[in-house]
Amino acid sequence: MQVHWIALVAFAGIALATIAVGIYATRVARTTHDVYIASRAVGPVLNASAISGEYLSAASFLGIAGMVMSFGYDVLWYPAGYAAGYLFLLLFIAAPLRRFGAYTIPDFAEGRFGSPTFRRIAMCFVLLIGIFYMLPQMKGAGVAVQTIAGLPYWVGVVVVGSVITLNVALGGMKGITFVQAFQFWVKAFAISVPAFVLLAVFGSYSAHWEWATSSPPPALQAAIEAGAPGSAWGQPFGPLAERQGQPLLFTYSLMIATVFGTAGLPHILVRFYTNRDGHTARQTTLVVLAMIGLFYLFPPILGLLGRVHAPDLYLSGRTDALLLELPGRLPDRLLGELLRAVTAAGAFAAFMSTTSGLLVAVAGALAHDLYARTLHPRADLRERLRAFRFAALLAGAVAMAISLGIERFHINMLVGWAFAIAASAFFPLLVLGIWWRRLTVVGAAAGTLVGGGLASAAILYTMWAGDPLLPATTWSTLLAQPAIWTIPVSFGTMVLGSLLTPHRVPPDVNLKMLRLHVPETLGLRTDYIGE
Amino acid sequence: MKSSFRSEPQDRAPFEAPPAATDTDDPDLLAELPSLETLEALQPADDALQEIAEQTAYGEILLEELIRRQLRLGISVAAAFLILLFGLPLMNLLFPELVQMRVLGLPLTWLALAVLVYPFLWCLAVYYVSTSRKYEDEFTELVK
Repeated sequence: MQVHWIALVAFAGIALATIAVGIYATRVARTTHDVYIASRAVGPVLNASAISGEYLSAASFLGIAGMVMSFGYDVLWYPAGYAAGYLFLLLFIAAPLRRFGAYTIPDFAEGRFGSPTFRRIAMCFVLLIGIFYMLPQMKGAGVAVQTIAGLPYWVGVVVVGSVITLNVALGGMKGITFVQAFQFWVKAFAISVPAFVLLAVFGSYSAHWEWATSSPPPALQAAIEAGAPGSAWGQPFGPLAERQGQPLLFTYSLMIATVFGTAGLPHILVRFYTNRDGHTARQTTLVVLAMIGLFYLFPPILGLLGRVHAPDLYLSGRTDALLLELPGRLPDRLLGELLRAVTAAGAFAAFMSTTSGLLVAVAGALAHDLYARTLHPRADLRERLRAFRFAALLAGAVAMAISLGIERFHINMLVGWAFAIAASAFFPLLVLGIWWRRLTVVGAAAGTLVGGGLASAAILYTMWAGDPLLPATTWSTLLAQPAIWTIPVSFGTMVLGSLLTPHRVPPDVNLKMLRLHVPETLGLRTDYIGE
Repeated sequence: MKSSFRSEPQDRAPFEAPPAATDTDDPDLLAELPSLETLEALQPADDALQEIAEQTAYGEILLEELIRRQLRLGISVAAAFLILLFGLPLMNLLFPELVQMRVLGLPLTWLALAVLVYPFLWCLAVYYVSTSRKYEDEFTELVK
């Protein structure tokens, strides 16, 4: 395979910059608070850049454009759902969670109900989501290095995994805040500039729409005859949904999984603790919505461009690598290579920022919830810092090892699985825990276990027993995208369980509600994490 | 606890003893982070807040009212969004000609889902943030 030197240099440049910031951050990140929560000295724009940088993963950067090219219109539900998740986070979770002062979701679980057992249950789901979500990032790294350098899949996984693991272990949350914010802007630049250049060279958005659907150029026509999707590509209920037993059901279950999954992602929620107060948490979410909304305008454009100018990727089955291939289709070779360097840098920034955010969340769960709160409550700051670094190394190594075995899965699907668990286990817990004072620990824990357990079981079944080649039925759709029924089941279990155990409503529930909802302007403020 | 928001009453009770010295490098950081594991340590800012904290009927009504208004606002904004977003697949199914109407050279349904949904989300969010802030300010006024 051809080696693209300019792109490889950009790739190495981002890696070295990340390592450099990581080393610098070890000097800044001196205290436990720096490592865990960046000392809450993070303003809304910087914090929003970091959240967006963390959230826009390899699946968003490479995956969506590639899937739009593969499947067309139906894929647009993914980015719309991802962005909409932040609206729900804003409406029901952001400010109260910040005011409650909980650092992790397990902190909220224990703090709201006074139950250490519930903390452990929540922690298990945090770890599960973290690992599920990390795998597609590692896989994306493997695919990108394969495309760019012609090296084997495992090289990308191991190199990216090691850099990130080291970076998180050394710099912690404070270190990666700046890295992730920087990486957001790298990604925003890397997705918008190629789209503008390609549109300027080849023609307008609507002209490409015509070429992609009603008047395909010869290369695309040949690809369609060889099996690529035809004019149904641009229509709702096209190639992605029509393989499902019930296209409408599939569309709704996809939307529900992405929207409510986003609102329950533990590694995103951890970042809200770095806001100064509840109102800043809302402003941060507002900036995030603007940032990722702008970002998501571009993957559909690039998918459309890919369909028109790189239809050979349909035949080689490599639409995942569209963003790295597309710049090479420009008539000007040098410009193409430069743009390829830009998209390669963006892709690399995407795996690094998301994986590092997930590693912080997983290492935080292990070091904070498991070690400092459960196993060794008397641990001093030095011991807790050591535990965090050890947990980061351990989690990074495990994720790398698993990633080597998952080369054949489609990357966006893996993220969808993590989302289903977040949506079914955590979203109901947070919403009812924040807004419903009659929620009891029995109801909440039962709902979390039932929702998260059913979602996990459905996903594991699809992974090992489902055959993607068989035509999908209503049942297989419901198992592959379980959030549409596991969220209501989880809510129902929580409400029913709480109504059956009214004596277990926490005696200090009014104070908990006060803490969640009273604005800081009253000068009343507290943090769950003390030292 | 440092309150940068409003002046504290001068006669307030002394706050809980600061945490024992730890080996952190940054004493300011710890001064800012009170050791508050329980809500008994909450420091009421004044009498009205004291009422809320002591769960008197009046305080409870005030807080209950704030929570109810915020929740109603959240549900309204969520409903406005969900009706439109969840309505789109139905529109696609029931009115295929309408949603394929060309606007700016693109089919309406593509334009809606690939472009317009993002500014719409943002506008709803702006409305929510300013309105919820207004409710909180009104609550603060009442309590003061």
